[in-house]
Amino acid sequence: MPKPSDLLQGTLDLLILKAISREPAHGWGIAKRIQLLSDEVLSVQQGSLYPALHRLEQQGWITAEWKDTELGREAKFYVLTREGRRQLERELQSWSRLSSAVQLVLERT
Amino acid sequence: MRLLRVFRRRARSLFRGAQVDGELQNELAFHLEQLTKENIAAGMDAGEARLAARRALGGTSLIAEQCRDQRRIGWLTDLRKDVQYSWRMLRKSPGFTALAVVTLALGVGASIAVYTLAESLLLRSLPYATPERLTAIYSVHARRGELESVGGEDFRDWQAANTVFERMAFTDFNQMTLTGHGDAERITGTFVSEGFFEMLGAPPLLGRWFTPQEQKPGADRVILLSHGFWMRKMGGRPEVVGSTVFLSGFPYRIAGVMPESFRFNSWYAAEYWTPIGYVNYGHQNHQYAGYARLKPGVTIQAAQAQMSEIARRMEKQFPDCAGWGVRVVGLRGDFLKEFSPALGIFAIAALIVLLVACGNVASLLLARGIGRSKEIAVRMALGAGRRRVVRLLLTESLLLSCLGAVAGLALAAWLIRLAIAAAPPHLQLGAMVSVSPTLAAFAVVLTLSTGLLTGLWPALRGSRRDLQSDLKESGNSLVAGRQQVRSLNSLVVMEIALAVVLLTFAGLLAKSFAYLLHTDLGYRTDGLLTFRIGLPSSRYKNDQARIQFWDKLLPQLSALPGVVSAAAADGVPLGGTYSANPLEVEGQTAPRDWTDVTSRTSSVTASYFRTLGIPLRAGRSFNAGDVADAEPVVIVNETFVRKLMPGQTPLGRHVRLGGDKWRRIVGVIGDARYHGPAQPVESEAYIPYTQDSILLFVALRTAVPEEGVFGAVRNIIRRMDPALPISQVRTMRQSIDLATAMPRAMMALVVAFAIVTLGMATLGLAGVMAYTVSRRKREIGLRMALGAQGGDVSRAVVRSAARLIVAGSAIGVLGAFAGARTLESFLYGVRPHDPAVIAAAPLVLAAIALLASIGPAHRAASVEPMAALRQE
Repeated sequence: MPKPSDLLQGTLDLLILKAISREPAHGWGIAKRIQLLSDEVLSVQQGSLYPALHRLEQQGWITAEWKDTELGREAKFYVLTREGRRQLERELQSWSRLSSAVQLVLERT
Repeated sequence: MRLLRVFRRRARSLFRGAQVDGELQNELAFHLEQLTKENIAAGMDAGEARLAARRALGGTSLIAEQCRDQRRIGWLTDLRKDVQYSWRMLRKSPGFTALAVVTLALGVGASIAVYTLAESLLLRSLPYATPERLTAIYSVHARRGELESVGGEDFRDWQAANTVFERMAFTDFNQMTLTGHGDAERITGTFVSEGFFEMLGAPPLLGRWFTPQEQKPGADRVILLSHGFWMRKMGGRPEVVGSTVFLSGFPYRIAGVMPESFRFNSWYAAEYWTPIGYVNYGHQNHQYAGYARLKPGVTIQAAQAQMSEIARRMEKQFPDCAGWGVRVVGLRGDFLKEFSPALGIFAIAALIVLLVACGNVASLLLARGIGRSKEIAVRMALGAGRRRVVRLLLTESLLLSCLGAVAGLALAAWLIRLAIAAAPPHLQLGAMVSVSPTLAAFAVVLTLSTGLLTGLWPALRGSRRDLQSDLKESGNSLVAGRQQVRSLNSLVVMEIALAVVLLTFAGLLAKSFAYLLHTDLGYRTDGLLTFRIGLPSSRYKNDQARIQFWDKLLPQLSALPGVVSAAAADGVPLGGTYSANPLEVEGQTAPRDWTDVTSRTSSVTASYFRTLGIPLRAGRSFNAGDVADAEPVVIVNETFVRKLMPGQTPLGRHVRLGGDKWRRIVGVIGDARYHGPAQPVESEAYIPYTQDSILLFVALRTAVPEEGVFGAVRNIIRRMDPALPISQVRTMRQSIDLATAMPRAMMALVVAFAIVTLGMATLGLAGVMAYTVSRRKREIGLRMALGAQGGDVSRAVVRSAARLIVAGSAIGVLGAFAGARTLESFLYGVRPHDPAVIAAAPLVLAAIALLASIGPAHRAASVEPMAALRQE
């Protein structure tokens, strides 16, 4: 199995925001979801996931509450706030600008 | 919304740190569990699965630490730690802390008190509509250049001729007797000309302004009450508006009540305002206070230009106006001209106290910093950055300044109470002083900058070090660091210089005050009681009735046990009444500027000069022969002779008040200072009361303490006429104390500040000397081991102290020389550069400071050479 790519600086925030944009999730769930949706290419390092969640929470993009999981144990579920949704829009736009720019460079050389 | 959420987060991280950390641990544990479960599902056994999970997750404490970094409250938690640490350090050296806090409290407290007063008086706007357009109008005598009151006739002509003022009005001092509300009482108020309140734009609290109709002669018995008077005498009942009050026997209708905040330029507290009746005193008269409101867009300069032009026209038109001009000044400046210089001195004194306090604490911190160099070196060796160390040291000085500020606030409150008590009552300073947001901001900024001022330099010095040498140095070097000692020394020199400046100021004010106290007033001040009784014109209608009253009263009073003599007059020194008139001397035909021949005129009973103790220089006093229809006579004082008839024999010559009958000069009396010690002697002319019978004051010369006789005096007056109000009952000593209250308060304050500053500078010097001695113990020990005597060593210490004192004093004398001019308006009988005071201030300081350095010198001399050398 190839080593999962390191995440580009700043893209982790985007992925986390996106991952919980449909429904709330706990840290473990977010990591799993990103891994799953990227066909196991992207793997979030736990060491960076939790500080990132903390940061997003401090900035007011996401908020959290303790809820029971389906397994009957309490976990901290993260939800996008209204400002967080707006932030996700902004990050998506800048990401698409960046990736298309990178694409252009790759195509033209 | 987001900010609110962010703020709540930060607050939670800050105050519920443990809970947040607990949640994080819980969250990580959950993650670990899930990971373990996944590993088991992948076929590992339980133990292996857990280990693998742990490996994958990495160190949870590292993650937790990284999370904590995201909370962005690191600086705050650090700050909390710094504060806690500083607090412990301060508690460990209570002597140092107490000294620093008290020192800072003095500086901060004095500054806050000054600022509070300055803000109340200078910065807050006057309580009228668009106050910047209000002006005060003065007549100005061109040759003497002095501002004088305005005259009613002049004023009316100005009003008619100018186009720069929207409204003009003048006021006059007035007193009336209130009856029907308890004991008959003399109350003070203000006569106002038409349109006065409209000009100010100051609406009444209740009722209304005077209508134009009410200000016509004959219809003008209406009155507006002050808030204080309304509360005191009418119980604050609103229904009194429209009712009648009896003043000096006449009914006055109450038109309204002015608000509590209303006050107006005057040297007394007005209890009522009433329209002024029209009397044509001619163009020679100057007795009113004039005011005007500029039209929008007109500057004071433009108004001044036009008024000067009008005055020039009037000089040609009316002979009495010759030599007179007009001066227009802003109302605020006019209001403050009495107090802003005092406030200025107060501010300089407070600033000096603050600077010396800062210098003192800075030198304490500096000395402490040198002593703590090892601790700081250890911190830096362990990886603390310079910024971190500076921050720690600054926290300490800020903590000190905060503690100082808290104590300083109490001191400020006390100082303000003192100032309110010392300020003239009509200023109503108490009502003006209040706590405002700007005051709070000032206090906070002052506190923080004090902390920075005291702490920054020591902190930067303390943190700038060469690790190696400091770690090696055992805190007991052979010689104290040259640079550190130099910075301590320069602080001490600055403190001494400032102390010398303030001591000089204090010396000048004290000398001036002593001069005031010892000025010969021309009358004997001990055993002299004065009080005021005005005979109402409604009941004492003519000269005969009034003369009868006095002739009956005075013999009874002088017959009282303990009373040596009794007299009555229309004015007594410092009694507050005053009238002056131009006098014409017989045979002097050359026309003279009438202001040069204006003298104070007074009507007195025969016993007046004897009672006050004013000596007769030539001729005779008044006697029983000077009755109403006898030859008109006058007694003049020595200044009168000097000014109006220099080099001539006054006795037998005739003088007259403008238009009055000629009076023969029968006596010359000594000069007396009618307005108290601070004012010059005026020329005076006295007339017997039988020829001008309106008297207002009684003076009693007593052989016993004055207060003891007053009860009997009151009874006699009550028996004669129970409705007569008796007011202003004062001994002459009390009157003089009242008249000198401002210079006294001023002197007391500056002297107190100077003593405090002297104490701080002395302490600063002693501290630095003690510190250097303790640092140089080894060096001293070595010297003594090599044969130096104790005396040599202590002389060396005293010599180095003396060097600092001389340097500081030299700078201080220069500073005092430059700054003493600001005191000029407060000095009587002393020049600002009085050589004795300027020389004495540094000498006093040097004496005390040298005494203070004896302790350290002695300690240096008693160093045990062997012990000192072995200490290493």
